[in-house]
Amino acid sequence: MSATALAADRPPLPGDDGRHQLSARAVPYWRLRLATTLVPAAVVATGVLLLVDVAGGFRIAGAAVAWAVALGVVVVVPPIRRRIWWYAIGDEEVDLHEGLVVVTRTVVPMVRVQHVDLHRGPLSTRLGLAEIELHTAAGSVTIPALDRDEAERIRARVSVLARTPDDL
Amino acid sequence: MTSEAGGWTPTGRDEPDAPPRTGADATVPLDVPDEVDERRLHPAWVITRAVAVLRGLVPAFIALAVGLREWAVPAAALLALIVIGIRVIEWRVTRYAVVDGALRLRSGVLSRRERVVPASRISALDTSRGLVQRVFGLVSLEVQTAGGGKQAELRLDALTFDEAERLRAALGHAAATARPEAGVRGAGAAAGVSIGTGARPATDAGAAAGFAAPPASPDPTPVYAITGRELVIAALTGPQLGLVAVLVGSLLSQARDLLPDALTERVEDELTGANAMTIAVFVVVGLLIAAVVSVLGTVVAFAEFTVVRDDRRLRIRRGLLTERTGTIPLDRIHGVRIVEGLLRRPLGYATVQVEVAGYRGDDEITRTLIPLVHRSALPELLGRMLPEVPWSDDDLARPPARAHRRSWTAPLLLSVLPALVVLVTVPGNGWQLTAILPLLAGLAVGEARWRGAGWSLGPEVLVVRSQLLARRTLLLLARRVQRIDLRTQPFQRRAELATFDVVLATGRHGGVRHLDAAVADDLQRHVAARTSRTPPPAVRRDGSLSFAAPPE
Repeated sequence: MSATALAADRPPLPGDDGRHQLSARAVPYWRLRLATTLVPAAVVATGVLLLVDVAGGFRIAGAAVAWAVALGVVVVVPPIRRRIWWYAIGDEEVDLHEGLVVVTRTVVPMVRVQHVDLHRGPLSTRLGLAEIELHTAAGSVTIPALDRDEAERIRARVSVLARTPDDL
Repeated sequence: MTSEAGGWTPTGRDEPDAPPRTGADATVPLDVPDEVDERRLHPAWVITRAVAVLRGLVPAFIALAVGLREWAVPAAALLALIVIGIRVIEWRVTRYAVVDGALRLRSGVLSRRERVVPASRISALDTSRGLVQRVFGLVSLEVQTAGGGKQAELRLDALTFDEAERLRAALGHAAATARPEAGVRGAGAAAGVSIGTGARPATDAGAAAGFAAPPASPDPTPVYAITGRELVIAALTGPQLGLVAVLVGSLLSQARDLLPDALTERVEDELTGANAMTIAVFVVVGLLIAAVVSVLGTVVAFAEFTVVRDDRRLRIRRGLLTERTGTIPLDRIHGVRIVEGLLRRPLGYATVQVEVAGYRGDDEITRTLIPLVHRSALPELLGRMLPEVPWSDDDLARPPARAHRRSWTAPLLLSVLPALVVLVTVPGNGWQLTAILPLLAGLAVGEARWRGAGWSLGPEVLVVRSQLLARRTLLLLARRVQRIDLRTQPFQRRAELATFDVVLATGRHGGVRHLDAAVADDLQRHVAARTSRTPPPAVRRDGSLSFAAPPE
């Protein structure tokens, strides 16, 4: 048998069934997060345009473009991101699917998970969200914007499966 | 001349001290001493450190000489005296010891510092010898740990060779190398000691057997030693040299009369009188010097490169002026990277690097396992050095034919922007035609990527090959892969292609672009199955996993 021929069987991955979406509040959460960076950026861009010596028409057009891009991204990107995002946590692997332009499906074998982090920032706490970070020897992968309870469940489950001591 | 019973005399120990020695030789201690009393480094440490610091102060000395004129020499002398004085005090307070199976280093003048590294956490004890250290017959001992980053966890900078060996023995890392003065032949002679016990580990070590077996007497016969011819070829085809050659060539081809007059005049104006030809000559001479330096650098780094294998480690010794030994624990090897450089591939030569977890990793020289080998000899040599990474020299599977055109798309699109910049900024007279160059470069990148791409998945080893300037073939143990990615961008989704990528514990990754999406999906599933469903205990117990409790 040539080394390049894969066996005919198709080993299953957790994402084949039981894909989970992120929390519905992921969209407002991401919108707020994007707004906190993009709105100030648009303000700065407008300010710079006011100071620079160009024709008035260009100023207005430039500022309009800056605001349109900022608001467009805030409105359009989060729903698309959430539609693409799914995760599935099986007994053997963690299966993640994410992206916007470049879409990536990541498989992390459970035996490679060294420890699990659960993060909550001020904003995500208010929205009842949390983020799970799975650490491996080669960096970490993140499942963002999960419902708090769901994040706790994932953390507990992965801790057991990865045989991480879950001593509180 | 061997030592007296149990005595650790600093001279005359010719043979390495392998821990479980079962021979009835009464003059050799049966068990290894597990404690080393506290002591200072060799006094020459002051000189080695002071030299290093003074070298760093050279700019300051020059500034002094310029600023202080007649006071420059006394000022410099004072500065040097202060530096040396500080080093003397530091030397006096720096003490090391082996206590309770751990290496302890105390240092610090004002703020005392005590570092303890348990022997079980030490993955390797490497040595290096600089010029100053050679004069005094000293070595630097670098303590590598599993979780360590690029830097050694701890280093002891001035030890006599015997002292280093003693520490090694006390920490359970006895070396398989003989005294450095003895060289390879000396090591061969020392092999006589272990003939009774040692089968050649390289020939019979299976993937798992090597880790579990108790450490037998090391066999110091090198599994690889660089020849003079290989060293010369390696130096003349090094990666930096290729770049320098290209630059020199392009400069030489652009003689002055080819440059637009306006540009020549502007350059001449800016440099107040020096004409452009002189500048070109200077640049070419500079590049040639760079080429010579690069050749010499390769020779110095890789001269006398030898690899010795025992059943737990590969030991690498190399270097002309600074002799270094490196240790690679076999159970930390995650893969092997075969690099066929721009100048080497046409000649059929390749370099081999190892992917090792928890080893100061990012330096290409320290990761080198074979500085230069002809492709035809590679499978046999690699099989001898690393049977843990079995490699069949089969043809690799290729991306589908429809990926050929797509390989050009992304690099071409990326090269449009620089092409536009050239088109806008460069003045007329036909020089705008240079705007084609970025596009050609984009095409070349796409074509090289297409030609290089390939993969295969065996029972143990996943092979992925990619190419930009050099062609890189990554052989990795599928069961040790940390993460498997399947990536698509919009163009790929339209053509049902996908990029397959795996990440190693070393943080580096390897992948194949533009595979058929279904094939890539299958590959991801099979690699995942090999990784997750056969958890070898060695991986989970390799000491690198320190579980942090999840926060709550």
